[in-house]
Amino acid sequence: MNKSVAKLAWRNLRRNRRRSMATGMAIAAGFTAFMIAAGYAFRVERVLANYTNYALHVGHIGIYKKNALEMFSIKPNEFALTMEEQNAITAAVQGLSNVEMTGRYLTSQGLMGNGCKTFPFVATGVDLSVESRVMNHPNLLKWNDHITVHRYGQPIWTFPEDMGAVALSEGLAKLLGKTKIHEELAGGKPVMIADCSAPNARELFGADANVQLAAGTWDGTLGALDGEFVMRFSTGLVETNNTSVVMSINHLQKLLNTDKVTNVSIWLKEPLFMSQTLSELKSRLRKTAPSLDVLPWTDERLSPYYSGTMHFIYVLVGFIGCVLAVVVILSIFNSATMTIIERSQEVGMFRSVGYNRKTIRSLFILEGLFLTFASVIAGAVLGLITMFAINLLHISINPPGVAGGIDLQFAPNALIIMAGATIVGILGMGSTWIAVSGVVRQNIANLVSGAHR
Amino acid sequence: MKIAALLIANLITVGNALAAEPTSLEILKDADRSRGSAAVAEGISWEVVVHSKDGSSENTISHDLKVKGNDALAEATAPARNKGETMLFNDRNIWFFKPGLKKPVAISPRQKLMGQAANGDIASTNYARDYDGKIVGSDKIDGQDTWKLELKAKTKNVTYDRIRYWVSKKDRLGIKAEFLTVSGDVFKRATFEYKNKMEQGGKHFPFVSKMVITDALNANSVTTLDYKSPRADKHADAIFNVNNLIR
Repeated sequence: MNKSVAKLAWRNLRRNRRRSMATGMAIAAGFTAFMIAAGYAFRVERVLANYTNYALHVGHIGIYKKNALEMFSIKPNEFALTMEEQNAITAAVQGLSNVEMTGRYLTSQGLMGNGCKTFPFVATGVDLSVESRVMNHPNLLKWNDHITVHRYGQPIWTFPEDMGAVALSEGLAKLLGKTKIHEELAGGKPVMIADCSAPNARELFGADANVQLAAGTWDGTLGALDGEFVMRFSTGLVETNNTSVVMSINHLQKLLNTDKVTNVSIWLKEPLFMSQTLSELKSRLRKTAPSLDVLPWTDERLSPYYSGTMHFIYVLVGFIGCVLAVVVILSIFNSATMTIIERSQEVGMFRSVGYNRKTIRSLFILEGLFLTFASVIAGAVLGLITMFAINLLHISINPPGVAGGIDLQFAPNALIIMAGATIVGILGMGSTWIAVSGVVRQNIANLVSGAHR
Repeated sequence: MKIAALLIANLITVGNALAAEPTSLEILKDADRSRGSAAVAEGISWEVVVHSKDGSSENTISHDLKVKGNDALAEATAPARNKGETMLFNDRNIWFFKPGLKKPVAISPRQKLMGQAANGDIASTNYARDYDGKIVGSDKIDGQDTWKLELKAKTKNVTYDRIRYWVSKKDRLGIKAEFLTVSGDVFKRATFEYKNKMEQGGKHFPFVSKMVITDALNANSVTTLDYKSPRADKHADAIFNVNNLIR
């Protein structure tokens, strides 16, 4: 009986081709729009998530002193992690199978000089051994391959620690007049500038890769160290592109005369199980270091660009999804209503030869389902073709916080497509059920005579 | 004869009137002399010990100062980890250098030296050169009659934007200062003592012996600068050349 009902449903669908086509095209167009929006959202989410996790050193879990996110910049010494706390974190992470790696980070402000002028900087001190693994992580390179385009020079971890290698943002390097990196000036000694106001002074700034970093030490005096400019990078934001420095954490600790760090970042093998790892870590640290905050990377204080951007995109995609849902519901409801009214005598005839209400309802629902299914497939194919075509164009866009911008690319995701198709199918079935329920409940005599119209 | 006598009497009266009303510039020049800007041709030297206390944390650094005209050289002598750190003041430019650095670093006089003391606080004070002053009234501070002056920075490259300065009428010594932000809020206060003596042209004059700086918002944050052994000294111009810092 089911197989024959299905055959009947498919045949009925083809009886009114125009209506079926019109309804199907509306659903297909809506699903195409949804797919493109979802494909864009998925790609942006992956790009920003991996950029945040790896390039911005946030990790999947961040451990800070309590209130450090608000107070560290004002009272760094008080809100930094002490050696004891760092050791407690190391001990707590031991044995957690989902942890891939951990890294210590220190941030500070200061002045960077070229022998004549100084400019403010904000430095991030990184664990060199961890930094190489973070920056070469497959997830980062898969979704942010553009990142290497906006870096010039050798990474700081390829140099001996005592050399004081520093990577400078493009704007800061320009302000300092550092036009060449260490590699381009190999073997060159620092060039002393006798007269900073001389016409050739700017040229002399670029004659060596030597810079001086000065900062207030955490024990209250002034500290200064040499640095060697080895790499230039872009931060993607004008404000930070004129001030950012990346250097070895040991070098920065020496400058500040401290052994403390700002935070510890933890990367997971399986980010999907972050909640469990987070809970376990919190539970362990509650006993050994209760003054710490253990935060997921999705906390908007750790990932403001990711959180802000994705909130907007989710709202946008959600809106498009709602519009699609309304299109599906109204299209199917309209089509089903018109069909059932026109075929009410046919329904009466089916009832009179023994088809029960449930079977007739199933007949119309199957018609709606086939129409929706065919429309979704058409929409998906059209969506894939459109995404593929736009990907080939390599259109560049500049979301905030992403160095050098990214290509407008779409990444279709099978799960999202199937979930969307399932929802559309359910909506289609539901709309049909509502449309036909009333008519199917009529008595046979009314249906056959057409009196209920 | 009568006319001559009248003229002389008038001159004396005018002279007295003028002497009773010094300009703010004159007051500042006199006050600056006792804070290191003495016009001693070949130079002055002194030691300054900076001690800061902020709650439970305390720090002390000692410096040797050499001053000549608008130039000054401050070298840290203690503790051991700061020994050899040098600040060179060339007019309003300041350079910081420490052993091992390949080049000196240009720093600001406003930057924190230690505690509440800024870099510009340890060298000689030249408010007459750096600030436009105006006498706004008189006050009695610790039993002393003082002029109250409002000082505004002439350039951005000085230690403070605005200063409220009380100078004793009797000795022309700066007794108290309030350091203000651009908007006029007091963020630091300072008091001065003058128990040292300095000689110039065969005459002795008082020289600053202590400056106590207190955070206006946190009375527990106090920095004391103790000035010791001020004396005339011979300083070669070469020691104030930034290019000689590295050698």
